[in-house]
Amino acid sequence: MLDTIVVAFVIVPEAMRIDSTATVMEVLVHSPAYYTLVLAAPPVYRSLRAGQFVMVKVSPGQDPYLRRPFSVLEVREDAHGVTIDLVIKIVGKGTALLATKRRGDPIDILGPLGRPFRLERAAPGERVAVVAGGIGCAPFLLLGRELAARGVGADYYYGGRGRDDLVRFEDFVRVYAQNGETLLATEDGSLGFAGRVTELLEPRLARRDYAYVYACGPAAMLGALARLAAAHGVAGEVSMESPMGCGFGTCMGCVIPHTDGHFATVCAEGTVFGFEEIAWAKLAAG
Amino acid sequence: MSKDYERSQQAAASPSAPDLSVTIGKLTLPNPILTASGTFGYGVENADLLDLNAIGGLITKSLSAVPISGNPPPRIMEVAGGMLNAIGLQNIGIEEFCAVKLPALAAYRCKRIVNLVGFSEEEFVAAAERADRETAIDAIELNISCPNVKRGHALFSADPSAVASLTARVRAATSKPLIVKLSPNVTDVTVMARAAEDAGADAVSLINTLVAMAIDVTARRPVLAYATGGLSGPAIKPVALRMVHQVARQVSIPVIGIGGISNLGDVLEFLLAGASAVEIGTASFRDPGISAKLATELAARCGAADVARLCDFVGTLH
Repeated sequence: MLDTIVVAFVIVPEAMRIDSTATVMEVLVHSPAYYTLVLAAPPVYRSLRAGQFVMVKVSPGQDPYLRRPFSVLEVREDAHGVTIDLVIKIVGKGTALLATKRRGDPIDILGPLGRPFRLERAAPGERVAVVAGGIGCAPFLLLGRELAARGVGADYYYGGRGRDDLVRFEDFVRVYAQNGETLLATEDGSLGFAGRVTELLEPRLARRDYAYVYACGPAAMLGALARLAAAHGVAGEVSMESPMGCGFGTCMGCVIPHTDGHFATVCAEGTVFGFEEIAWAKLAAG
Repeated sequence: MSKDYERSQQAAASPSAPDLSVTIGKLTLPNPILTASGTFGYGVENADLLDLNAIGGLITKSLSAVPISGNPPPRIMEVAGGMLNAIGLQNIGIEEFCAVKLPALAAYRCKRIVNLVGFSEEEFVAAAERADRETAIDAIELNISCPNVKRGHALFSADPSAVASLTARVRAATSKPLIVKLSPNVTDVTVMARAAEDAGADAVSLINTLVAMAIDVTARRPVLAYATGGLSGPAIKPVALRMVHQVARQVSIPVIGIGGISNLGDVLEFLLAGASAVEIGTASFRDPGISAKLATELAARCGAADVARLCDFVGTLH
């Protein structure tokens, strides 16, 4: 019952976090299950980095009660201010409700939250693989731009069940064309390679084409990817997801098992963890 | 400078500002809004999201004599009007809290209340003795909704003699203001409240969460890894309010109300029911700044209603 494992961590937010009311600029419907919310956000979002997310209030009332977490796909700034894109898959009540938003609607967002991808793990001139499973694409337009700006080559591997799951793939092709290529994979063969994205990636890992891997997607895919990368001696990191209560590190609800023995919050100690930090077998067993 | 002098100075400076202060034993809270244990960590990590100078007090995550890892996930589940949690008391332990978190927390004006948990009377006493040595800790709240491993894992909270024995032992171990947090998962919470009062508690707080469950129909198993969890949020407010009302009529010590409070109306309901102070819990997950906002709104409401002293409003149900 009692545990002598000590958790000594200090949560220092990467940047200031605020609770604000954003405005819906556009709702872009991509397919029955996928849409993008474009939000006018406060200036603090200028400093948001790939892998960070926001907690969105989905209803003014008490049902649904909790906010929902969404990675920020893209941040842009113009004369009017800062806008952010949230690409969303309808999986339940909250995501279905948000799809009914209209231009001009207010929307409460808390953020920027979480630890972002670590750009410093890839040196200028190196080449990395960025791997997305379905809605795991959510952090990766911004990461693509950040890597290009850093002079890091990046190939984007985008996998899903069918072509609808490769949402906004044209935007990814455009961004990653700056310094790499995009490889698409669908399990049903409706777009790109017929099969899993890890099958596309493996020979390139074996050839030592990549110095590092950044990934996001279903836990099963990420676990398989971690094993694959380890087998070929390639380090990498993942952005995890988990049902969240608060999203800012206080309720301790969203934890995953860390290899050092403690339960780590995905929202505050993550969302980004090194492959080697996650106890994948324990996670799968749960 | 004594608290009374501070207050009279404040009143002299702005004679029309309502006095929201609350006295619990030797503890004076500047206002009755507290953050509930388990909902704002150790405070300092989230000081950017909540003004710790605006709330009456912060109650820490339950702290144990030695650190606890907590339950495996899934630990939480949203339900209609609230959520279930089976966090499993994950905490850094009283020692690390005192060494690392407390100094930073002491920089803020809110009162600092440690919530303590243990799986035997000895563990509670050990944690209380450690807390007692810190001048920066203003009060202790006991989380008694946990099993006593020395008594067949029976919950302390479910048995009045266990409540009395535990309270008395902790009372003997510390002179700090002592609050006993009661569980609603009992037949008659007033019996537990009286047991705590008779054993020397300075106040009781209620309610803790209601034991509850959710089932994954596809997987055909409980959603939470621990199977059951505590229900919190607006869904429990009517139960909490009823229990606060019952207890307030049975004890002379202050009662602190907890359960689904998320707006000023809720706060006022609990005060009218007899709560001298309230704890805001689950609402902070949705609105991290809510506690500070409620403190401000309460002051404005008292001002507008010409209530000069909040304590005059407490328990004034007709």
